[in-house]
Amino acid sequence: MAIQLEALYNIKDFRFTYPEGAHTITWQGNHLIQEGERILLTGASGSGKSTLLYGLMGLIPEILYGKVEGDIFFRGISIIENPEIVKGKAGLILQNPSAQILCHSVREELAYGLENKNIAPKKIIDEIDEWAEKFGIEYLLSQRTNSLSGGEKQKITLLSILMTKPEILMLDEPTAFLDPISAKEIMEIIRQYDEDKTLLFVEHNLDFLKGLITRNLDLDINGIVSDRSAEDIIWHSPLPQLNKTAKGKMLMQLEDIRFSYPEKEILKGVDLLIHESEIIGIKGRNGSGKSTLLQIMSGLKPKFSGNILLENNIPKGKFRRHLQSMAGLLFQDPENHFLYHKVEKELEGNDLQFIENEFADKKNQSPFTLSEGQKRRLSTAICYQGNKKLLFLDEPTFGQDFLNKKKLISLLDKLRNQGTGIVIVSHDNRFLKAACEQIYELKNGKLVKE
Amino acid sequence: MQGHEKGINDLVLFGLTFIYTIAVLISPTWQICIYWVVLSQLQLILLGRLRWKLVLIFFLLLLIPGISLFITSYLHLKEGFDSYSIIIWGRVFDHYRLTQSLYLAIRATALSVISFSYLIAIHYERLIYSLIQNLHFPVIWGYALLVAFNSAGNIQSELKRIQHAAMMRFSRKPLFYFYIIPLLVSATRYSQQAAMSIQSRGLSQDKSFIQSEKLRFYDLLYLFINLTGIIIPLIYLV
Repeated sequence: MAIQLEALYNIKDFRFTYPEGAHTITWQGNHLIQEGERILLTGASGSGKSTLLYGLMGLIPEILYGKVEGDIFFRGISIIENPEIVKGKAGLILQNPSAQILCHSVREELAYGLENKNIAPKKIIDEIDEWAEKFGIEYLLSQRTNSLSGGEKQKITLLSILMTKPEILMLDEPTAFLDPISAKEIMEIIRQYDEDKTLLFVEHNLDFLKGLITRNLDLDINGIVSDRSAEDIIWHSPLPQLNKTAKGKMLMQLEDIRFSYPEKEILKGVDLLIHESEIIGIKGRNGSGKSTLLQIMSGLKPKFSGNILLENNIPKGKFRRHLQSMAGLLFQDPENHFLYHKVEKELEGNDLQFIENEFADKKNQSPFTLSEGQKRRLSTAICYQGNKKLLFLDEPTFGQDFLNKKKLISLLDKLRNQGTGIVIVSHDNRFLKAACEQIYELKNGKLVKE
Repeated sequence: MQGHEKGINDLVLFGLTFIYTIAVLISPTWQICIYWVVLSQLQLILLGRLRWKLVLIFFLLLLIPGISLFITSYLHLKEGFDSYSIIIWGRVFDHYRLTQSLYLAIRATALSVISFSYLIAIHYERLIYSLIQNLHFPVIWGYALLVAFNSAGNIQSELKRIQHAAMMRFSRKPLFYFYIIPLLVSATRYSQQAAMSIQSRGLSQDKSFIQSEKLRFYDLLYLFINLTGIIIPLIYLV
């Protein structure tokens, strides 16, 4: 058994190659993580931030298969040889809250970690009640997990892990699916957690981390590029602001759009006007109906009340097909657009030459193996196929780092200059401010100008 | 203990599914077959596990295939060596063919009703906890099954998203093979994240449960009463 007496973690010449050599991540030399440190891991998409967390959690190679060289030591003991050593001592929160929920009731989900420690049921129940009261989630205890919103699910997952009192807490983009208010609530719970514990964050949205982080490790696939203290972190790199341009003719007008789900009315009279070469931003809380509105505008939800007027008078029978041929909808997750196993097939019918050039040497590659930024640009090209006059983008900055956001803004600029009207739905306020001429908030079922 | 209302242990109901299925398969007459179906359905309704309307609707839906089965088997069956004719509503029928066809149709319908009703009545998450707590079912398999049950909602939303993506691209609903690659990728991601969630929260075979699913005296008594209800008519017939 390899033993090294040193820090909490020692990453020593660690190298991990994903199956079939798709991607290799290397950390040359010795990298130490001390007890009580609060570390922010940054770096471009695909630089191995999440992989590092999985390695520190003892999930490599047991859950995440691949070729491992070098080692990671936990308090001097090799994790690769003894993944059990971190069991119960470290907790990991992942991006997607739905995939982390294991039980059918909230109470059982909260109990899961403590049950694994073989604690007496009575004590667990008392503990759940105490934590629920402390964090104001008593109303959720009797609910089933499949009825929770994304924010509530993430909160439950986080509390379930915190209740086991892990010495090390790792968070892999825990706010990616959340609106700013839910994200703030999650961060508040973390702030209230014991200050002596070690925290490791992967997060693109740095707004919530100020005052929480003590160290920043910037990574690329060859290891740590820079290791700096909190004082040296650049919290806000300004995104390039798009210049205002002259709007073209009207492309679409929404008049008193209303839509109801069986349980509630979600849109209560939405009015909006979209012109050529115009970029409009829409923000709002999780579940406020932003995505539903985009689906109505792109012709995917035909049952609504109100009017959609287009540039030309389209006969009623052909309206939906015409709408779908003139408008493209970009989904939150770029992978949702991929229907084939080769980039070349995905690009068939592409109208954007600069995108074609970017993927010239990747045509035979699977779209699923591209970097996050490339996936986003490819999905935008797919969405634009057929020279769409209108583009509706649902959370386009999801999972994108600063550099990719900059590239996305430049892509939007090019599309706008071709006359495309763009509507962006996003929680990323900075991105909206940089890219949009007009921002609305969807509040109580109506669009309110900011 | 908190959580759901305490009722009959789901492991007992799971066992009864097989017991009633075997009973119907070996039933000597169609009358006993009907008696067992009624017995099984009545108790599920009285236990509050099934709504009688649902059973009725399912039964009515089964009437058409049941009658079709009866007619086709009557037409294809050969007369038995002790056959005799009977007259019903002025028409002559062969008694042997009639009873055998009826027996076949009722047995097939009974099997469908029993499997459907228990499928609806059993709480699968409770069954898994019961298997772990009573039969030492490995927890890693148990939680993997729970994740699989949870994933149904995820698959549904994935299907919808793929459908929307294809509709935006081709202005029509996609053909089935368009779903394959995105669904496979999504399922792999989902299962990997779930596995990480299970492992990173320290899953252990020696674990406690806030909700006890241990078999109690009442569960065993309930099982015994059911077995008695199944066996008594058999003894009476013998």
